[in-house]
Amino acid sequence: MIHSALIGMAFLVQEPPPVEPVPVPTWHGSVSQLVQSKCGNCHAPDSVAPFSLLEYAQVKRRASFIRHVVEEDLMPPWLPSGGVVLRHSLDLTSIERTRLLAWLDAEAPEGVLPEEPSDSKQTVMVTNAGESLVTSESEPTLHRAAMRGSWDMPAEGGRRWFKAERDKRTFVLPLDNPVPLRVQSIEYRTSAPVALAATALSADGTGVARRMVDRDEEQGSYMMGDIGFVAAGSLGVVGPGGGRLQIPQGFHLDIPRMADLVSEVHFRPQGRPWILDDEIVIEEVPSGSSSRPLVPLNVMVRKIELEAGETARFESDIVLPTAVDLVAMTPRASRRCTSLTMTALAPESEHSVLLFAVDDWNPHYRSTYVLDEPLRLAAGTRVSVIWNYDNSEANDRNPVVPPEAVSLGGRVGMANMLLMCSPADEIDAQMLRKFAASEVRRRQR
Amino acid sequence: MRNHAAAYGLDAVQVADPDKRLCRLLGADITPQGYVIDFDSKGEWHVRYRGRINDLYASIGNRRDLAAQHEWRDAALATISGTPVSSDQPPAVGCMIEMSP
Repeated sequence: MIHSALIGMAFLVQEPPPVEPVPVPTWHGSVSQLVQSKCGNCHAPDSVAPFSLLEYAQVKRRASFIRHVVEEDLMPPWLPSGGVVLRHSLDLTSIERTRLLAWLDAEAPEGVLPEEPSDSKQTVMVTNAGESLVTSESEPTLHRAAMRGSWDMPAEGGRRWFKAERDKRTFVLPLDNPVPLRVQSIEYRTSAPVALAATALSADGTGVARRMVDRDEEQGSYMMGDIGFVAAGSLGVVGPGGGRLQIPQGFHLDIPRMADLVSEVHFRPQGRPWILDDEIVIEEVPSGSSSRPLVPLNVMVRKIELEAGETARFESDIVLPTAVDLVAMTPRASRRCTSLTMTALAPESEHSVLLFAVDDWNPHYRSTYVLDEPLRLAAGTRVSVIWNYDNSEANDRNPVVPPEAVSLGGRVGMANMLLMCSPADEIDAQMLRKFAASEVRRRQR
Repeated sequence: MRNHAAAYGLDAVQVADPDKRLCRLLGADITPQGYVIDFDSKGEWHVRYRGRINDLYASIGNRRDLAAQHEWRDAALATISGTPVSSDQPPAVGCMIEMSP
């Protein structure tokens, strides 16, 4: 009886108007462009990722796996989960995600290659940062620096190796520049893209890094790439697999004369030896173009101490002594960190604004994040960063299981946010550099 | 495969399975995945273990410093010595094996 009543009711419901069927996405229609832009930078031959995803057949034969990693948010690897809009985002928009899953649902149809006039074919080189290199009329001035000798990356780790998370090695790449440089972009080229996670780059005009590295018998040094009061990554962080850091036009990074470039390489043993023999290519701001310097401000937590199994929250903040444009930022934290947020509180304001958030931190994928548009922060703005740590077994990235107590302390911090700030003029820039150094010293007391 | 074996120092017997017949027979769905197969006196085979090799990877991309649990090896040793194999057989962590042609 109930059954027939339901059927009777169903007849009363008005039939919906016919809906135009949504066309099924095809590889040649839109999916190839999507996959190539969001996956193809890493999933390419001789790149960091384990297989290529450039051709239709390569993508189709991994359809179930692609579905799995997209649904589980494992891929594409893009750490920022909130805050200001960033350049070169690998995040899938909801439209892109829906389109990709709809395509997989429809058993990945290939579609037809759109007709293209053959003379309009353009070769565009895509770098790991997703930046298209378009050769301009006037060739930019490039400077190359290479490692002073290759280094044999071990096939496997071990307690000795990973004590204090030493899956890192610092190298010096002499630049031999007779004059200071204004840097527009930095490209890191590695001989071992599969094994290279992130690399934190700094410039050293003092010779300190070179002396540190020369003490070691092997190429490079176990020590971190921090120089004096400058944290590793003060030029920027590129990774994984190397790549390019592009500073927005109108801004530059400073490199002192006769500098050594310092590369703090985070690597992952691959079960087979690799030879690391890397190179850095610096692109100068064209002479005659005006640009403003970026000054790194270090929001830092100097010591991280955790009991086995402990979860903890670490906080640090900085009050800007002058107005700046925030152009980029570089987070640094270990694998026991699980999430972080950065907020700004303008003077005389009651409400903080979220600038940057990572809700699933993974140092393997860290890099320097460039804002889509520089953000003006008023003098007196308080920038606060919170890092959440989890030293329990529940943290999949905890390097040691069962967990052990850790006590880590650094001169320029164990958890950092390097704010790449541009002050209004050179007077403010000098003041900001002094402030940055004094803030680091203050936190060491 | 020869190059891969040389680079990684693998000296065990290798069998290519291009049509995934072996995968289908054993139900292998993730690579790498460890199996322990035991042949009884009648020549019948029994899967004693199927799962991760060890706990080096907690999840995709998340590698520990060192493996602490070696379930595959333990299962092989138990099988050889004739003792029962643990029923705790954590699933493999890795890339999915595509079964569609």
